Amino acid sequence: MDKQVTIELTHLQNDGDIALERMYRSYKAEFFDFGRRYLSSDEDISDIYQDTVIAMYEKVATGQLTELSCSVKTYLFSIGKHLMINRYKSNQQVKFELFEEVDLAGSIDVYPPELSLQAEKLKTVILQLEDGCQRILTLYYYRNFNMESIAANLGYKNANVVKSHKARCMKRLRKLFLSS
Amino acid sequence: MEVNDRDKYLIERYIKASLTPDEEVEFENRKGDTEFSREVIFQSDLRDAIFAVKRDKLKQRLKHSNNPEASGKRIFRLQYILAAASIVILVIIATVALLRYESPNVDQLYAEYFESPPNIVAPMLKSDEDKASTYDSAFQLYEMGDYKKADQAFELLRDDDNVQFYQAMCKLNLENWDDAKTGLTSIYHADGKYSKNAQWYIALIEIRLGKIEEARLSLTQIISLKDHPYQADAEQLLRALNTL
Repeated sequence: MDKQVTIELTHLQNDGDIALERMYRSYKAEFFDFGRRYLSSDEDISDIYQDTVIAMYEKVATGQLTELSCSVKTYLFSIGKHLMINRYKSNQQVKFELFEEVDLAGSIDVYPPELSLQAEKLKTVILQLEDGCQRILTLYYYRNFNMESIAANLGYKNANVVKSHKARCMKRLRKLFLSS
Repeated sequence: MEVNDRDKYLIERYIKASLTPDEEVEFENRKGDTEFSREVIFQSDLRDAIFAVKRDKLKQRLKHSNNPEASGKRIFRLQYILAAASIVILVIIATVALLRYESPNVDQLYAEYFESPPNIVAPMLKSDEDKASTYDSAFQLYEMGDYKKADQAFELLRDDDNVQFYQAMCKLNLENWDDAKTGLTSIYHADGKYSKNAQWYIALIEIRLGKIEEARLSLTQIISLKDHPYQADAEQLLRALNTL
């Protein structure tokens, strides 16, 4: 794997949201030029670019993407292309004639799942939890961290402290969920 | 049947997609149990919900990432045309803001960027409920959001880095700006473990008090330090400040 690609992926994995924003800025102007080949609305391109960067970040943060055989830019733009096709399907304002150039084979799974009713309700409940709980649950479920890594990341004494804290957070979450 | 510890372990491994082949068989066998299946669905939905919350937060963060180059060449061309007019307007706005000494938007900016740090010194544990020390109790009052009582409790404790910083955070949450800034300034100059955190919160206080030039200077200092944990936030905040 190219050294520059390794560096960028490592930054995304380790520095989290800060690296995400750095990547977002790095390729934004080029993505807009690229996007205008397909879409006529800058607003749509901006929206898709945000989803594109988040989709790639999610794959790196969750450990699904650890190496690349192409550059970060190529990977990012291929996600973007798929998202633009998806937007095309729901919005006839796109420059559809250009889509003939797009290779639809080997599409990348970047679309977030439709939330169930229970998940929608849980989403509301999560936002009612205190910041500490939100951080622990995010590192546990989103970043796939174990208790030791969460302790190190958030500055807790040890994994047992995190385990107890997480158990209290889950108890509160279930209570809020049942009463909502 | 109730969900037991083994079930919880299996569900956890399933959610994290790390079941071994043997565990996968065990998991499939347990799926016939109603309580087990219900917990699997709950945990899967919780994971999806956490992903959705995180995506929303990231999207908001990116939306606010106001990079002038980001909008591309079309806007860049437009900037040429509007540049002179914009400069004049910005100068007028800046002058009015300086004369008034307080912009109506600083409250919003402060609210957007201020986040009370979590209690990582002595987190509340169920087993601690009856035997928390005076020291831990002060932090637990802070964790519960009872900043007034926490402030009083910290006052009675021996001054260490943790006490000083979290007491300043209590004063900040109580909107006691002057005392908070005095405490944070002392922490900043002591160059201890909370020095960089203090620097960030001082900048926020300056914004909240409408001391825009001082805030700009503080933020610029933060940005100039490569390893500063608030560097990216400071860059973003400075950009937002420049649009006021």
